[in-house]
Amino acid sequence: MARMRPWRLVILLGVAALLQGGWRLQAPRPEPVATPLAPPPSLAVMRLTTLNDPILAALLWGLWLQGFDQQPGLWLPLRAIDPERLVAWLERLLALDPHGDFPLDLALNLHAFVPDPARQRRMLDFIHQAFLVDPTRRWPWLAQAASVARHRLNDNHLAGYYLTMLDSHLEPEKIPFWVDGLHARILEELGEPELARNRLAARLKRGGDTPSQQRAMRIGMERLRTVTGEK
Amino acid sequence: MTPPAPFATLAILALGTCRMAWRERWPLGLLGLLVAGWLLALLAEPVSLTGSTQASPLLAGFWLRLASLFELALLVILTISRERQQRLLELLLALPYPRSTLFWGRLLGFHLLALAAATLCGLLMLPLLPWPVALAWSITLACELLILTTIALVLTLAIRQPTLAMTTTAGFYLLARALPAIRLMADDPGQGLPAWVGDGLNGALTGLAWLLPDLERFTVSHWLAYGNVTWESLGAMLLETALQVLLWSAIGLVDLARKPM
Repeated sequence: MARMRPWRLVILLGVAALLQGGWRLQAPRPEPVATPLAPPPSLAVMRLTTLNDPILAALLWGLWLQGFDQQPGLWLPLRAIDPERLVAWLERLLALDPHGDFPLDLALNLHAFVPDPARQRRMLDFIHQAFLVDPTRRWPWLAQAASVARHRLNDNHLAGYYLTMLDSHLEPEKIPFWVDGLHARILEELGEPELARNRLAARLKRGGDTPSQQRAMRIGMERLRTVTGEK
Repeated sequence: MTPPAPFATLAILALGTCRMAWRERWPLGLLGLLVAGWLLALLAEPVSLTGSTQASPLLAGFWLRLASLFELALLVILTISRERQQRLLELLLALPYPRSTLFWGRLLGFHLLALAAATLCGLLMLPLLPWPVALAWSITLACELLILTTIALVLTLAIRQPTLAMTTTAGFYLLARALPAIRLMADDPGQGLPAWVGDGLNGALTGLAWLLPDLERFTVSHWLAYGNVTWESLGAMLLETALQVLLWSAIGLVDLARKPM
């Protein structure tokens, strides 16, 4: 077979490069398209994505969900994510790793901060449902949810309900100082200063708080006594 | 010339295997791959909102495990295949010692490399984890590497084509890791398969589960995420590793014995 001369090969290379370049040039530029959140896959499929490692699957899928708003070429507003699908994903992540609190963190510290009351309530409800499954481990999240309900939703009734749920599932010694303080303030604002004062009094009687916390509670009780008009 | 004693032959073969790995620049490739993934895992920590779950040890653990398994399996398959292509394997089989000595010598060498890789991975995990957790994790990794090395050696000696040997080894590993999840999916009554197909599938999967190691138990991500090492389970893993190495070695020895000179 006759050998091809080198310049012919160079021409062949040039033509091939031009054809490839032309092909790429005529192709349309990719346009950013917002992709909605799809329903989550089954647990078994999610486990398979990490070769049957559920904890790693919960972490990787959680990171993917955390960055779902950053799509190629655009930044999707968090309020554009369907809250029901989001909760389905969060529930699936919790099922993969029941000891992990990444889904609760995502719900409370990311999606519950979107200024959309319906979405915020849905996220708080997710936290509440998760708390009911494992109150011992997840009570701090419900306590934070109560704070979010009071300060972001301005819904003292919901916050009070969550704090009452904490009361019914936890021993009083486990409830931190700030939670009792928040509960007392909410009770006062709901027109129950007597209950608020009793709450602080019970905590003070139980002991275990620092001197500055005890002082704050005494000041609060004094103020509530003035409110109720009791001597 | 007097042939060397069996143990001396074993040691020569094992050291020869390690020298082959050194000549392949295998330690360099392994180190580069491990450190690159480890650095990436460190970078993941500040950007993740993961509550109390530590992202870096989990991601680093996943990477180090897969990378060391991949590098070691590749080394076993490529070195043995090259020995076969260069007719060195035939030469070694013709030497005046039992064929099993060749098998055990090579296996010992690859196992030494597996232990070195597990130690390196354990050292890389030390800055991310308390030392008892890093130690326990590296023991599970060493067990997994020992099993995979044995399977890769047996399959490469049995299958002449390196690509096919690599595919089969990867297939065995992926099946061993994913088998429990696949069995759960096969059990799912909602898949709409006829009963006899479902039963057949379940039977086949049960057979495979009997042969393959339960590598799901070796991947102890909850140790990395929450640091709750259960030392009791390490005993079961070590026993399963010994049984698997024994089973696959027996398969390899039978195959080697029936090969024509």
